[in-house]
Amino acid sequence: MEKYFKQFESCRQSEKPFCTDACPFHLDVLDFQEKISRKSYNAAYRTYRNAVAFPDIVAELCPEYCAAKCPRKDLDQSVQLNLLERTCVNKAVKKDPTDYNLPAKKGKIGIIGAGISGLACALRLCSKKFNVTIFEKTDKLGGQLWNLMPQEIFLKDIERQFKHENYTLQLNTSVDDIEQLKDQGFDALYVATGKNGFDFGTLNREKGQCYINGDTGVFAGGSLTGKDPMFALADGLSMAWAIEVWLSTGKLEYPGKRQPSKAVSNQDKLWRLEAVIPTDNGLFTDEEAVEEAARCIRCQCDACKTYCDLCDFFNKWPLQMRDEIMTTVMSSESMIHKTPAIRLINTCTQCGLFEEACPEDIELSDMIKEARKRLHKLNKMPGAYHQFWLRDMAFANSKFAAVKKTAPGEKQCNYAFFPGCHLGAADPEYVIEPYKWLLSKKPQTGLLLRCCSVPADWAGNEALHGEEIQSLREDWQALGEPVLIMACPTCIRNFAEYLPEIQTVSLYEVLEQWKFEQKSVKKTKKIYSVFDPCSARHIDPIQQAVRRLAEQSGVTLEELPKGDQHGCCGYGGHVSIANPKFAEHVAKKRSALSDNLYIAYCINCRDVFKGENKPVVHVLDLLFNINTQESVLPDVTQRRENRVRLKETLLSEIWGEKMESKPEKCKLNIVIRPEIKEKMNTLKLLKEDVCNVVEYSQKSNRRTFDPQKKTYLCYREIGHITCWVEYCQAGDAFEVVNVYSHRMKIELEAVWNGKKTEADL
Amino acid sequence: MEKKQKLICDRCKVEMVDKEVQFSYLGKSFRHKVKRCPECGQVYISEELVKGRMSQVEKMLEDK
Repeated sequence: MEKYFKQFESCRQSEKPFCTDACPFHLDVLDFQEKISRKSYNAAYRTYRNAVAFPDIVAELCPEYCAAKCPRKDLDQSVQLNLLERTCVNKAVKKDPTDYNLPAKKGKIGIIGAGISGLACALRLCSKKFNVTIFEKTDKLGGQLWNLMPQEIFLKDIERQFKHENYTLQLNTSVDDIEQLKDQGFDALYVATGKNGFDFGTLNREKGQCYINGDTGVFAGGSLTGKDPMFALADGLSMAWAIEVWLSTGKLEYPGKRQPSKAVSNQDKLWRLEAVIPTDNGLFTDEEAVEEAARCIRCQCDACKTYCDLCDFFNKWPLQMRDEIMTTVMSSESMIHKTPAIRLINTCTQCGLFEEACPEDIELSDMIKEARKRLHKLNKMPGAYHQFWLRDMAFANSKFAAVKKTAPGEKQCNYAFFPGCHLGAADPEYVIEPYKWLLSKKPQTGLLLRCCSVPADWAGNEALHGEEIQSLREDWQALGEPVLIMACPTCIRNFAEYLPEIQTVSLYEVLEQWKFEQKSVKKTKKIYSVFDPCSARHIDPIQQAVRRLAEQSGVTLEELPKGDQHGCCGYGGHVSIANPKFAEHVAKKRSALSDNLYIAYCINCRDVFKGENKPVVHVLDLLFNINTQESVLPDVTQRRENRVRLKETLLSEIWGEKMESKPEKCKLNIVIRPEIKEKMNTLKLLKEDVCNVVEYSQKSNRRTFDPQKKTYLCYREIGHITCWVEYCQAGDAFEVVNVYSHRMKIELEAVWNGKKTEADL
Repeated sequence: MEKKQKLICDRCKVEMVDKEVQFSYLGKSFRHKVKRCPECGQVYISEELVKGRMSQVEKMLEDK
């Protein structure tokens, strides 16, 4: 966990945009643009003033250093930030500074030179209520501004900004020697004597343009140090900061050079937009200002927010996610220990797109996987989040569904088909047809039908995962260590990570290599797009094999706009119980990538898209004519029945064997209405669960009778959830009229009024 | 006004009454009044409560 924590140190989340970086004042352009785009000129003016001190002066004089850094520069034209600033200054109505009632601060500061830099420094220090004295050798404020712009603009701005501030101004006072001020008790001096002015020995010192003279810190800046007017003004502001540091700590901290911004401009947002031409006497109208502000693509490093579904859905930046995850997985028994990221940790689809997008290679999904393991160890993982899939895995690996067999008459095999547990659950034909074909090509091909154990990995249950991996390894060894022919890309990824000794190859590559021939090729005019599952991202051989097979079957293909650079369909990481809204959001987002029909080669992608009513087929549908777009998805109960049917069919058709044990059937005649079946599917409740509850209620008489509705209501705990069933009885039939479930546990029902009752739930 | 629903405990054949029940989730325990049999203590929780307050509390504890 600590390894991942450290990776975030290089996160570029707080990197400033390039324009802010180039701006002498480091104006927060993102904030400024946001306010302009909602026409909040007063608020934008405040942002601008806080950065530049004298908005009217800067708007008039700024030569737009930012323009050279704007990513639009080479495309159309840099965003006209200076024009926006001037529009803002012109349109803002509330321009007077706020009068803060602050206590006076200790510290007497002398400022030599009432030019643009000296005034800026004085303004900052005055507003913090330091005792400020300005010495000016001429009889007026402004210095070089008199040569640069109309006096009515800058004099008015200076007057306005100093409106609420008190300071001592000594005009016509020439300071030629620092000793001259010695008796006046200054704690700090700012030398801003302008171009070719007297430097009082400040220039070219070891620590920058400053030194200590007795008890006084002497700083220099502005045009004296060779800067142009805007940088001179900015110097005054940063020297005010350096003086404050000096006064509070006694240390000289001369502002150093900032590191260049490492922000990354998002090329996806960058398309040609011509610069807006101002029509209001050289300034923008409201609509023009909004339009120009919209040209700004708000450069910052937001690759994670653009690509990672988790960052996007929770609207959280990586550093906040890191902190919340770390807090959540900290071991603590305290009642007040917070676990704010439990849902977030269980919402990651493990698609790995964050890692690919992040320029600093931060491994968020690995961190989240590790966090799930920690949660499980700390017993803080809500059991209901993964229970359904863990039970599903147990069933897929049980004697009712799992098959581990060499081909008929063979003792060992060089190849074995590993379809994964969901393919046959979706439709047994998906396994039967390809396996028969494989046998027709290489009759020694064995079959290993079971779960790849990824549910335990996603649930963070290391012990269970370890056991399943070991059992998988043993199954593989028992078959004679064959090459496994895999139908599911997620299984391939899981094998590569945990069972690298097993050689795998995808079914689709094998279909090609072993020369699959379509029985009947039906040409269709419809255009399809192959949806590559996140587990097959960048795995070119599989991707290409699927495309060639699909084209052979007679369809026309068109690539998705970004190829395989998309996240998960919403199935990965088993997030739909922890965060159903997220799963739905992601599924909708992926469905909307293209209007074309999708071809999936991960059965979970197909099921998710089908659930979203997105037209989709599995590539095996095209090759073996199994399902059509119109086929209906099986519900959770039917999926289990499919698995049993698959094993039974395989045993009888391939090996001529009879299936010995089948899951126990419900002893009662349970009738479930179709709308209740749908509800059970959403709640992920099996018919078996409902039977269980009703059987228990009949046996123990623990049920509530509703005389109006003539129904019985009973409940039973199923692992981490409690399932309630409402039913009515007609003869020997039990008709289920409602089901619902909750995660909270009902305590102490077993003891009632001090005596034990039979509540053996 | 909504009619008060009458419910009978099928084992004891008595009317269920409002009594406190202790619930627990994610290591936290709390009490709430729901319908119970005054004889055997059997609990009845309506779908309305499950979908409403109960799911809110579950969500709150998961996000705490």
